[in-house]
Amino acid sequence: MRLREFGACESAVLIDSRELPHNCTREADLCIIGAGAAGITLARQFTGFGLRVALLESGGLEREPDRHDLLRGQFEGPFRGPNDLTNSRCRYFGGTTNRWWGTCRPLDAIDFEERPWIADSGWPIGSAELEPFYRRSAEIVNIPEFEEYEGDGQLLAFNLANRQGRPRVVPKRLYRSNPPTRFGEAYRRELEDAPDVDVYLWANVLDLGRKVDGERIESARVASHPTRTFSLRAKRFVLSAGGFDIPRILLNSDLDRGGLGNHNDLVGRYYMDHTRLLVVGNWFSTDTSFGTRRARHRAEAEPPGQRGQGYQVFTPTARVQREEHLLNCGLVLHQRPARHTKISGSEPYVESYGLASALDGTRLGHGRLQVPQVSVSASGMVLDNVVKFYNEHIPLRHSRVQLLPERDPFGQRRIKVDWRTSDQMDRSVRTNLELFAREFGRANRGRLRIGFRGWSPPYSEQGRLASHHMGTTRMSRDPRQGVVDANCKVHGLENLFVASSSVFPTGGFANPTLTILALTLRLADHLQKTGES
Amino acid sequence: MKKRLSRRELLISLATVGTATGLGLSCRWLEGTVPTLDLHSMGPWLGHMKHLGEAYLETSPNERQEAVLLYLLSERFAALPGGTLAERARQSVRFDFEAGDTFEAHGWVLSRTEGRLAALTLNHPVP
Repeated sequence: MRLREFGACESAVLIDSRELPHNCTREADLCIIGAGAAGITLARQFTGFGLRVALLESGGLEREPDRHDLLRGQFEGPFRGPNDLTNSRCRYFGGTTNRWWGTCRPLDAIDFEERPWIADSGWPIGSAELEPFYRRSAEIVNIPEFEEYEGDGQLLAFNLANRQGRPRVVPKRLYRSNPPTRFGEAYRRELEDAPDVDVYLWANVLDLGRKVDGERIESARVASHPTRTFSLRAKRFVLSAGGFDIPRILLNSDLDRGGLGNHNDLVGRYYMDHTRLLVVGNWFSTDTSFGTRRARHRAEAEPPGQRGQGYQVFTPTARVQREEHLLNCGLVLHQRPARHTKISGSEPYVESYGLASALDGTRLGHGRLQVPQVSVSASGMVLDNVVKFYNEHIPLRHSRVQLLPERDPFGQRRIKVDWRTSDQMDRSVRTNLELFAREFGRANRGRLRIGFRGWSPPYSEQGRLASHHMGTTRMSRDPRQGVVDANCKVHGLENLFVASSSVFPTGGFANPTLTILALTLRLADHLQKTGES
Repeated sequence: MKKRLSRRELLISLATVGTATGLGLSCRWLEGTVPTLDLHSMGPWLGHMKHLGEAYLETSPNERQEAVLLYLLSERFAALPGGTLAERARQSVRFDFEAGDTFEAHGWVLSRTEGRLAALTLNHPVP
């Protein structure tokens, strides 16, 4: 890879940091640390804007073992699924979008509110503030306009309203970027061609240097190799390295003072993730027309390139959440191939044997993958009718990312994630599932099986983390309650910002990418309005 | 509607509520079939219903006598505004769910009416 000289505009190449002289200094107006969905999106907003932008990526253009090893650390929690520290992140250009499934949805309006029954809830901004940015974000990941946005009940695929006409459960939609937008592939060429954006690959940020006794970051110390470093000086810095690495960088910086932006001991705290209870139950329909409206398996999804309509997700209404002090959640009635066999012939749709097969006892309660509910699709595929449950995590101060004494090959301390849940979350899962079961029964649309025998608490056996790392630099008006302000600027520092799900004070149940993008676009507008050219 | 319903009438109404579908009776199959439903030809279905009935009576042991079940169901259905017995059964199930009057059988959340109807099958012979 050819090295582009700083300031040269004519060559369309990326910068290989390993070829930079040891101890050299580079300069930029805006330094963006991390080239995932947020970092790449932010850099794109500044092409042609007249500022010199440096986008730093720790890895190269593809997965490399030595960079991937930097992700290692310790993880402790109620369970440890396959999505632990190393499998949930990607250290190369494009970040975690190199492996995401493309599921998108805005947070609900209630997710932004301060809810008295959820301690430390409430964003300093509301959903209306983000709405125009959500719409711009939808373009980036190629999903349709959200027709039902803010419109609980408008997308009713069937009538779940009770006799008073007030639904307790409403169907919404989880959209799918189709195919999932790989930001590294999709926008690499655009950034290569941008004369004012320098993309530094193999540029692993070690720490940020603060001006002595000042409130400004002066430079980032960057290593391309364990023995080769350079300095990136900039007027403003944005951390977009994800919910684990942003606190890692902050805590590894200004170590003598306990980390940058950490004067209130909040960096790394309030770690949240969505828990997916994959097979929390089964369902059957009492209505044959229901079959045409159900969630479809990915294999039956829209053709590539067509804007992904995604699939239906049921949620309790905001009113019910308030009245019954529930956490937000989403329930998907999901069908997936049960096995690689087909029923011969072209059987017309579905006979449903779930309750019967559960009652005969032969397939009940043998673990997560034993699913008694089966159906047969029109093509003869045997399908499992499973309930997927996406749960909101409550903010807990003692759920946190910390530094370990152990250091990586670059000399930086690795992280330990101490993930905690609470009884309140378990209770809310149970109550929400009972709510769904009652509402489906009341509307005579089917019955839900909401757990296997001995199922309690749900997290111990049924759950899996979604790898949505949130909350570790939470947003707040008051510096005593969060790390960044409403503009995503780190409290107490003039020129350090964060673009990540790490700023979410609460995370609802929806996948976070769309909200990350919306916050990033909003940050870009803010930086441009307040820019120092 | 007569005051006291028979077990057979109530069992036929059971075939029209939600659990029937979950036990392998498709809605399309049921359409037009219920009036002539031959319970004796539905051995597996009745067998599953007995499981449900047992699960219900574990949660409501004071309803173990069939006479109690017949009385409670007859009273309930008579008080509903619906037309046919099948309509009243579906209505009763809906009201149960609305009121949260449910029980759990092997993890499935079912209505009390479904549970009582299923419990009636315990004394019905399986062919």
